[in-house]
Amino acid sequence: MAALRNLTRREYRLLEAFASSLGVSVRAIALNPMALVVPGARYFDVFDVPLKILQSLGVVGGSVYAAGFYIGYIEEFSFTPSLALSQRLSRLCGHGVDCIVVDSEGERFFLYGRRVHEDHLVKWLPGLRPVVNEAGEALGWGSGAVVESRGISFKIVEPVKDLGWYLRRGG
Amino acid sequence: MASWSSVDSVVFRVRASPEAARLAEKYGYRPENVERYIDVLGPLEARELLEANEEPMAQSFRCNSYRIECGHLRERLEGKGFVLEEIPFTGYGYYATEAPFSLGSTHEYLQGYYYVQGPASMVVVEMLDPAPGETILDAAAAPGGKATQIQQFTRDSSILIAVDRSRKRLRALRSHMQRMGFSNYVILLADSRKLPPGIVADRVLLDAPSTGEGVIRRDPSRKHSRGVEDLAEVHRLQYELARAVVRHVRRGGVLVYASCSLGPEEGELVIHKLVTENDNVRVEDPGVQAGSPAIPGFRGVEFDRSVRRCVRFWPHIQGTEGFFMCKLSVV
Repeated sequence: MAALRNLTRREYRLLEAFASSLGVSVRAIALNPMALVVPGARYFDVFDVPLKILQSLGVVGGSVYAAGFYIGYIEEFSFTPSLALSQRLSRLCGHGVDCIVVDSEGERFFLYGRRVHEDHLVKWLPGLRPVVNEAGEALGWGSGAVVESRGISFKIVEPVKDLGWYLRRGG
Repeated sequence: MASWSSVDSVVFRVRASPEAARLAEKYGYRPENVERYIDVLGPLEARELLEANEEPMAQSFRCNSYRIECGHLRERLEGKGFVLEEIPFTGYGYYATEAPFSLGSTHEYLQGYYYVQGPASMVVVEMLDPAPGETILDAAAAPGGKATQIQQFTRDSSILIAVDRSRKRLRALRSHMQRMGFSNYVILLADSRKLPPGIVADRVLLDAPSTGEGVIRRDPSRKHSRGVEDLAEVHRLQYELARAVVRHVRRGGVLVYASCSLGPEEGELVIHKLVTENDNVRVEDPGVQAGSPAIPGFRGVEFDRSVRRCVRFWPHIQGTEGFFMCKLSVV
C-alpha cells in the first residue's frame, strides 16, 4: 500500500542540487516535498503537498495514489522532474530560471518528441532546462547540447519530457 | 432497510412488445431496451429518442478558466480552423461544430487549457456548486472531468478527495489534474463503499459508474452491449455507492448523484430508494436552469414525489448526451 513520508536528508539534497542547477532555491520547486512510496517499487514519486491536503491525509486511510503537486520522481539517487514542474517553473523564465526558448516550428518538433535544431532555437542553453515557446508557455524539459557533423558544430535541444506525453502515454 | 425485491422484479422484467422488437431491429438495439424507452416516453417519443441517437454529437469541451481566459482560448482555436459555439446552459462550455482535427490533439489541450467533455456532463458540477475552501469528495472520480471542473470552479482552493477503484482510470485522472495545473487534491485508490468513516465532506459528488447508455451517440456499440440483467447489476452498485457516500456528507451538506443514462433504473429509482430509506436525505432544488424534469414513475412504480425535482438531459430534447442528475441535502 502506498504511503507518503518526508524526504530523507539525502533525498532533499538531491532536490536542492537540481534547483541549484536551474539557478533557483529548492523553495521555488516545492514548499513541502514528500515521497509517495510504493513497497517494492524501483522509484518513488515526489509531491509538493499543500498543508491543507497534508491535514486531510490523516483521515483518508492508506490507499493514496497521488497528493498535491507532482514534481517528479527519485530513482537510485537521481531526481527526474515532472511536466507539471516545468509549467510551474516556466513562470520564472527570465526571472531567476534560465529556460530554452523555441519558435513555433521548434515547438511542433519538440511536442512530437523530436530534436529541435539551431534554426528553431530562439534561446539555447546547455544541460537540462525547462523549454518554453515564444509566448512563454511551458513545453516540457529539454537538454541543450552541441553536436558535430562533418566538422561543423550545431546547437540542438533533445526532448527529455515533452507535453506530447500527455497524449502518448498519459491518457 | 426496506426490501426492494418486489419493486426490482417489476422494474427489471425482461419483455418486448412487437413494436419494441420492430424498432429494435430497425435501429440495432436489444428489444428489451427499446421496450424500456417506450415505457418511459411512449412509442412516438421513444422513436424520436432512437432517431436522435443516430446523430453523432459535435465535439465539445470545457474551457479551463483557471489557466486561460476563455475568450483568448476561443480566439486561438478559431485561428486554427475550429468553428466554435457556446453551449447555452453552461458557463464554460463550447461545441466545436467544425474541427480540422481532434480536440484532444491541439497544443492548447496539452497546455491544459480545456477538457474534452459532454455538454450535459458539465452541468453536474454546476449543480454541485462547490465553493473555495470546502472539502469535496468525488466518489467515482476517474477519468477526471468533474474533478478538474471542481478545482477549476474553486480556483484550486477546495480540498478535493478524489476516489476511484480502477488503477488504470486513476492514471488518467492524475494526468488530467497535472495537465490542467491543479494541486489541492488527494487521489485515493479505493472502493467508495468502504471509505474510512473519518472522511466528512461539505459536498459529495457521486457520478456513478453506469451502463453508458447516455453516450450511444458517441459509442453506438452501447445500443446492444448491455441487457436488463446488466442494468440490474449496475443499479445495485449505484445504489450501494449512493447509500455508502451519504455517510460522508457533513450534516447540512450536499450530495449530487449523477449517471450517464437514459433509463430510470440508473437515476430516479436510485434516488427513490435513497430518500425512502433515509429520513435525513432530501431532494433539493437543482439550482440549474437547464434540463427536463425527472421521470415520475416506471412500470407502475411511482417514485417519491420529491424525485421529480431531479433533472434529466435527453438526446432528442436538449441535443446532448443522456444524463440524470439530482441534488440532495443531508440534514
